[in-house]
Amino acid sequence: MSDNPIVSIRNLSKHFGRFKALDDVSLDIHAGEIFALLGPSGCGKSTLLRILSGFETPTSGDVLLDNKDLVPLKPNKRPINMVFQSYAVFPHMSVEDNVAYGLKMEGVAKAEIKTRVEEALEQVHLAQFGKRKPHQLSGGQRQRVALARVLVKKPRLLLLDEPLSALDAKLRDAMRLELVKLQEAVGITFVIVTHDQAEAMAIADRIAVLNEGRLRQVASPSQLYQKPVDAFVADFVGTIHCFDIDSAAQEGDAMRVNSALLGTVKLPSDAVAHSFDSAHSSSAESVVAIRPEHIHVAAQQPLTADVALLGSLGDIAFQGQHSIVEIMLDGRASLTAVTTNSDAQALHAAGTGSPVWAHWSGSDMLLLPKDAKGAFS
Amino acid sequence: MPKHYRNKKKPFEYSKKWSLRSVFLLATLFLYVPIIVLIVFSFNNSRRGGNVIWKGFTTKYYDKAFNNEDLMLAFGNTLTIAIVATIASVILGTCTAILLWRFRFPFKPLVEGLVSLPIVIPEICMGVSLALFFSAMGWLGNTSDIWPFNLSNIMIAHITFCFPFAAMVIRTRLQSFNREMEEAARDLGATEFQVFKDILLPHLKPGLVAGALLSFTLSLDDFIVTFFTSGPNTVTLPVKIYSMVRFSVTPEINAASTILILLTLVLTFFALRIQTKDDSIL
Repeated sequence: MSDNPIVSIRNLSKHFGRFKALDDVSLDIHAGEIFALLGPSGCGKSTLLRILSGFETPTSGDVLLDNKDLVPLKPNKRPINMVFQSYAVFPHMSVEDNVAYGLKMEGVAKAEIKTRVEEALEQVHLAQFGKRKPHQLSGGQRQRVALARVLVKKPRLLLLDEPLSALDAKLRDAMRLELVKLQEAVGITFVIVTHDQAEAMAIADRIAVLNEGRLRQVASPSQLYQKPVDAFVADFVGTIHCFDIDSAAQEGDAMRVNSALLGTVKLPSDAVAHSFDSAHSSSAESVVAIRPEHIHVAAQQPLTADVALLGSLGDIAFQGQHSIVEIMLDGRASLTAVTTNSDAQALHAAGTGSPVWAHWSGSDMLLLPKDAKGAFS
Repeated sequence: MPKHYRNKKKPFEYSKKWSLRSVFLLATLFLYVPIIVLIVFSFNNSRRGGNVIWKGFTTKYYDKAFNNEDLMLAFGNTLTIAIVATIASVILGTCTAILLWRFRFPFKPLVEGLVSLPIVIPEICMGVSLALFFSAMGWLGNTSDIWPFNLSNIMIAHITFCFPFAAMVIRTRLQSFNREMEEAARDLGATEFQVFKDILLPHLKPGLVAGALLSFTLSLDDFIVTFFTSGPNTVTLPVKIYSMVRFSVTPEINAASTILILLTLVLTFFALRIQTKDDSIL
């Protein structure tokens, strides 16, 4: 990745009346990467996309494209193009005319338009469909038209608003792979907005997690999963079980954490989120957390386990490659653990409600602030 | 042994009930028989149009109608007024519809109400108010004005009651416009005007056709408002037919009416064809 960002967003805010859609967001997007904006609905990710495309003006802050100020440019003057959530394919124009429209607006010569349109349709495997009208195409094909329509313009930046949300599950998986391949082939920087963490994880080189208008973390998918900056991010990018703590104190290389439910646990220093500091050591500010795939389930009390909790066996859900086992903890809460199918079958034989032990190692745990203020990359 | 059921009527198969069939038939007769009689008796070889005794087939009353200079002048006036009023109504209606659809401004509900007011106001009141307005302005179809400017006050009167209908139809069409399409075109490099020309207008086309058709037929057969705003030299077909009826009812009137009916039917047919063709795209 180059050090020179293609897009630089500095202290960007967008207020709608009293509502802060974006609150002091700063991030860089590098040339040639797939960058995902991830967050629950209303987190500001779409507002950010609309600021990049020029349909919204920021309240304050800067947006630079190739080190040039982007904000004063109108949407039709930006070297940025967007694939809309509804695809917004023009229904009265043929597929060819749809794809050619952007080039016509640029004033490209007719002969060149023809070859470039053919090339773009080839890229999205729609070469045979040029003469068709959009209503003669399936939803997936319409999306390809929308893609070809922007690829043909060879933009500096390509924005995709929830590109896979309208497709059925099977097509979505295929399209995920195809988007990545397409991006590699054309080398254009993609910015994808999505609320689906699995989609972001699968496609993106880097992900920015937003919540309530604030940037929570920018990181690669694996880093985001393994080193979340706070409890919100950890929970948003995958299932995680959080436990309130009473206190946390440094003890040599490790961190000693006291929790009502878990007792005293020693966490190695790399289990402590780097956003964690002494200000977070009070009980109200932080949690210790464990992901389901790190929880082991046993019928007998384990001899050596940093944490072991006695519970009763709940439901077992068969997932295909693995099973998910629910462990009911004394009326207070339940845990889920990912187990192999054979282990799940053995547990199933014991019967629902039978006592089981959930145990895990302290080094698999994370000590996280509930809410890390500011952005950490 | 399999059971046999009598062929019972299913729900909504109303057309199979003889009682409902006869009601339908009677209603249709009631609506269309007078028109058919009118057309048939335009070919009646009788001196009186009101005469319902068939005296043989003739087309002489069509000849007479086409050679009646006053009648033809009125016919020409009617068409001129209708065409001008239609074009103006569609343009004004489109502008009004886009204004009400796209923008927010103070007193918008009031403006919306005012726009649709001519639809609900009794036509006779509109006729009187327009007549008073034009006479106060001294603008009463001057004989000295050259054609078609002598028709200007009737045209203005027709536009006032036609364009709200056009605006309503076009606005309904606008509701189904996906705003992302507009943004997509902007995003691809189109200016505001290009978006309007390339994206919005093609989407509006069925609405424009429907609005135009509505305006044209409303203007074509308007009597009350025209009666109040026309001068002695600016007579339209409905007004002319009315004055002819007051003298004597001849089959010539039947012939003139038949021509008017035919004209509207042909226009409606073409307009509907354009519309159904366009709808298949969407």
